[in-house]
Amino acid sequence: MKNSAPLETACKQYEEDLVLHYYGENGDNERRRVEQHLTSCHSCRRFLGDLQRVLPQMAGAEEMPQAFWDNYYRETVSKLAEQEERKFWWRSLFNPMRTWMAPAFGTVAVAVLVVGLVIGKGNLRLFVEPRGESIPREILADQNQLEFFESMDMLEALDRLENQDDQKTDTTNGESNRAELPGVVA
Amino acid sequence: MLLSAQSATAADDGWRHLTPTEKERVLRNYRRWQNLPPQDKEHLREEWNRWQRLPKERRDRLKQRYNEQRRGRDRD
Repeated sequence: MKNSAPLETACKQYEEDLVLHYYGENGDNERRRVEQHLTSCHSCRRFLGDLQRVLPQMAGAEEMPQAFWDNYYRETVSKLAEQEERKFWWRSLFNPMRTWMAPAFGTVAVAVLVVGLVIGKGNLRLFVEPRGESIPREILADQNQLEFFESMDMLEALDRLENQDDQKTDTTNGESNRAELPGVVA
Repeated sequence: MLLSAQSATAADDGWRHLTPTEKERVLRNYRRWQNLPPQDKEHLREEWNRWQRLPKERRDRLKQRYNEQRRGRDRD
């Protein structure tokens, strides 16, 4: 078969240049050098002739069935997805929890905020020591009542305290009056 | 009702700012108050009203004197 005939062997040092020459991709100097060599080298001429015969057949792309392109597309998409997943592997840790994590985190955040505000305002003891549990309601009915019970034992001694205060004031006034009199040494 | 809630809150705040000794004294006085005869209760209420009408300077002086005497008793 003509197509399957082996390529003619070219000079080793020109083999690559001849391929480029066939495609017209070598520079002017190279092209001139190759053309000059071809005038004198029968093997290389045959090799170039073989290239001109074989390469156009190889360049013709084989028509692939639609199923091939469908599979190709699926595999490409799947590989891209795998690559993406490898890049963000840590996201998979959260995937199973995603549905309940948002409300759970929200609840915890609100609870922390409330506790923070309570402690910040110094009202924690309202929770620790509920009003009315150990303190009689009558005491905490109003501020006046609290002050009354706080001062009750002093109120019982109020008369005596006033007498003592009056006596002391009298003594102090008497001493200052004597000091003001001429000839009296305080 | 609002005023009542406000003064209850003020009492709560006042209670929270008392020292443990002061709280103990309040509770002790309250228990004692419950067992007092009506005339003594009446007398104490009058004394309380009188106390509130005293000039602030005199109240401070009397309170200071009472606290000094109490500290003296506590030491003894």
